[in-house]
Amino acid sequence: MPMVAQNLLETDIKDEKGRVQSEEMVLSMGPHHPSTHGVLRLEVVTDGEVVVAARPDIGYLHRAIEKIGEYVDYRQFMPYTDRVDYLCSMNSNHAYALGVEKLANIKLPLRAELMRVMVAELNRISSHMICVGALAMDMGAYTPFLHGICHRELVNDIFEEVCGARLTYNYMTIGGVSYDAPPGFIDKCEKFADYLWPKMVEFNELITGNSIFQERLCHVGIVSREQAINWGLVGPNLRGSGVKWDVRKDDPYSIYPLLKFDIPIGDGGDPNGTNPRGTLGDCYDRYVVRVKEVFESIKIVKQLCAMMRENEKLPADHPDRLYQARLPGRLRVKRGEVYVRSENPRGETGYHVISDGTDKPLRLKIRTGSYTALNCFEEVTRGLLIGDVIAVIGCFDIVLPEVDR
Amino acid sequence: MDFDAIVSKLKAKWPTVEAPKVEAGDRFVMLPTKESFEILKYLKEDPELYFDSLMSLAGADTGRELWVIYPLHSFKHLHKLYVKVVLPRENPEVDSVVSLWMVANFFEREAYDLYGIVFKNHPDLRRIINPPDWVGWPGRKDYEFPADYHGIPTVRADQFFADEVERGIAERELQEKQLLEKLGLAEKK
Repeated sequence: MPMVAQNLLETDIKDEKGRVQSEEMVLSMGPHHPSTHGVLRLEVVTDGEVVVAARPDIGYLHRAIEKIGEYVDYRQFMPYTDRVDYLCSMNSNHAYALGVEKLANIKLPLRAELMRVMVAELNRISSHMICVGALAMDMGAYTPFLHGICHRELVNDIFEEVCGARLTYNYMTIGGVSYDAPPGFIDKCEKFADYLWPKMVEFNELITGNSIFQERLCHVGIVSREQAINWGLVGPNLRGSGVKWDVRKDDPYSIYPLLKFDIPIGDGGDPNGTNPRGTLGDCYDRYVVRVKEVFESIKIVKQLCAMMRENEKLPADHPDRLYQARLPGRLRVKRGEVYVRSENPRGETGYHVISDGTDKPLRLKIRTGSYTALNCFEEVTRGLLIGDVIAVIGCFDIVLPEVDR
Repeated sequence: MDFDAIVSKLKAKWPTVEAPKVEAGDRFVMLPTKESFEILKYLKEDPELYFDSLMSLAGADTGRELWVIYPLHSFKHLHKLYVKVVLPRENPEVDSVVSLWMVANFFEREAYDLYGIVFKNHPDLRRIINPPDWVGWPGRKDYEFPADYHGIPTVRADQFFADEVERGIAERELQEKQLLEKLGLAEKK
């Protein structure tokens, strides 16, 4: 036997059962890896194909948005909230506006609330389209991503008419929305809702029931109910673990109490459920919750269309027809602090707004769903294969600007 | 349980717990720094309170003192509590709550990174958003932005072009003045 091979054999590390263990290797995944959904760097310690530890290294997209908030006044901060999470700018706008309005004690007219919830739900649909599409693409199926992008394009067109932008909308203001609904807005929303329902059924046939896709996601990255609460998972990730909790329903804000919709939760292992092959709280459950949420959002959009038609019948000078509350030019916010949360596509987004009575906030802190999802990332991915790490990233729906802020 | 009931329950055990009056927004509970961990543990484990979820954790700087804010929530009883601990600006130290809520791990690292608040017994307290060799606490009110980082200048565009901007404004004003004079609209003194 050659000398080199002999040496290699002698250096093999064996465990207590005499099996050969390979040497641990540190693999740097990212920050420019296409399936980390942004500039996330993972320090993956691997033993062969098995992940020993995957430690997230974040901060590549830090723009000090919270610190900027201390230098601009309450209205001027709104465009920055677009950039916190660019896939759901409307929802971020909404969360921030809720915080300041609660602190300044502002009541909104009905039409402003209707417009807000309408665009927020449309944005939730478009965000979930990217999530489920990109997840399928990471798993090797390219077509669903194009389906998702195709549907999202229609939402973008509606938003372009509403506010002129296609990604960072800056649509909501403190006390309402920037512009009233353009002509034909309700018809378009209704048409989109009618169009999307059968398309989503088709999407389900294409990928959700796909056996290879299920094989990749079932039993992967399991998070139990207690763990999900303790690890601070929110939104679809929390519901995927079987916790029936939705801020829209359980701690309602805006006009959500008037709307009828269900909260889909994960049902892994249930023979009559959507995930009979998996375990409760696995990646597939988190994926299915998102797909079901799209259907719920379509229901909400249809109800809102009916409510807006009712609203249009009111005389033009009726207080419910206003799209902005009448506010003084200089916003007076009392001394105090508030923590509000709203249900974003990536889960509960919380805004701490602390005011010292001046026209600028003393401190703004944004709590986002992706940040806490990365917090428990190392625990969830321990012992998985490297390919499954990508599935976990995709199913947690991590968006990096939201993490680094 | 509503806010007053929770406060009276806490005050019976720890008389130093305060619930100051507020002008607007959420009412909050101020905890003594030394016993903060014990009280938070009680809040989590007592069956009547059972705050099993830490919604967020924020550090804050008022210019005089530092705050650590814990908004708590209970999935069982569906009640909320806004808890605050006040720390001095010199050597701020408070007990870590990672052993109670694992979600606090990244939040506490962020508060350390931005405000220099040291969380005792934290498993891995190091910078998270800023690079590991960053100097100073950028979240604080008296933080001065460094002129460069490893030789990369951090001069802002408005500072860099300050002279040009000033000259441009002066030129523009002169042009406007000349135009008004030409049209005979200049203000007469």
